[in-house]
Amino acid sequence: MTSSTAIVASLKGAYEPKVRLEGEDKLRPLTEVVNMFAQNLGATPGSVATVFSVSNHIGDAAKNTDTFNFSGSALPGRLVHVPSVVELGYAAGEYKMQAIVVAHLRSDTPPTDVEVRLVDASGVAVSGSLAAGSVKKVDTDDIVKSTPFDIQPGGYAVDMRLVVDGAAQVTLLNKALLLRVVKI
Amino acid sequence: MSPIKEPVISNPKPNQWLSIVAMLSGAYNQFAKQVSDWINAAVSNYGAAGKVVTSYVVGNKFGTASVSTPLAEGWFFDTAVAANKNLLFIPSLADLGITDANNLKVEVQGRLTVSDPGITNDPLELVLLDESEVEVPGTLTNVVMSGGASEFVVALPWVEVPTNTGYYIDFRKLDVNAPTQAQARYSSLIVRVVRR
Repeated sequence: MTSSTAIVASLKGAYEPKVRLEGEDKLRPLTEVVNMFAQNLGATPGSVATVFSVSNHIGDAAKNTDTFNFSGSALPGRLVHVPSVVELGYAAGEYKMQAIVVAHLRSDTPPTDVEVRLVDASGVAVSGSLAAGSVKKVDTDDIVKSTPFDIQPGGYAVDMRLVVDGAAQVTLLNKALLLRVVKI
Repeated sequence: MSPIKEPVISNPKPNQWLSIVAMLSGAYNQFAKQVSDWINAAVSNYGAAGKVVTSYVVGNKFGTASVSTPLAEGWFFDTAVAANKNLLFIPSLADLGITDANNLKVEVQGRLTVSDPGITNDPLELVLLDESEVEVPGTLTNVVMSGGASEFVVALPWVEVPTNTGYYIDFRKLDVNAPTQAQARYSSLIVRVVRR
């Protein structure tokens, strides 16, 4: 029994009905339309079923160093919590959670190149969470965000460092995770 | 649903997401019709224009201080004490997992948590701006405060917005009854992905 509604094969020829969609000129195989429908429902592998956001808007102190704050011997103090897909009503084994780090930053001497990453409550960096960007603003948030990466339930903290030691005073303000429930 | 024959004819009617309007005649018409009818019924339940696919909330402190108070009748972010803008970031369509960009749009509703410590019951004006300080059309909102010193939420109109950028809410109080200023602590956007 498959956990997906994706149609991967169909019998060609007279057995394959074709239909035309409103607003289109060409005919499509009916199986293709069913697959399009499933994908838009978030029911095919890789499609996003839903999204939401968690954040901690308490800003960190400004820093000017090229080292990250957190490690196994320097644990993060404030965490944002990532729930499980089951807690959100999705079947374990059929869906996974992905996150995108959305870091709000300001620099007193822009532009300033920075790196951000996500660490778990043990101070261990989460694979795939590292993102680089340039902070170009003094008085308005600039956003540095990562690409999507897989994440497990638990508490996490956004970590930041300057690329060039002493280049500026950079403040990490709101630390958000955009969370995506993705069909496996 | 009427049968058609290839080659197909021009079909300029705007696309309504996956709505089947015709099918090719053949030996399996009955099967095709049943499945097509099922898809159209499902689409009407899920994929019709205006249907909300997903929604969530993004929030942030309103200003740098825990409580933000505009100067007399001035917009908060126009005043010298209020330079720093905490953005509400809307991710890109790809970040949101949208692969059907032509048929989906992102709408937001700004919300500001305010209080009226002087219990002035005066009018407030609020507006949503993008990170370039440009007003988002259709978001200017006027309300008369009635919540007193306790926090209450003012909601701005729903508007479609460009994605992968930040927004913020600005507000000011009109001193009709008393000069005591309103205060704001927290701003948020309800974000929803909607079928066109």
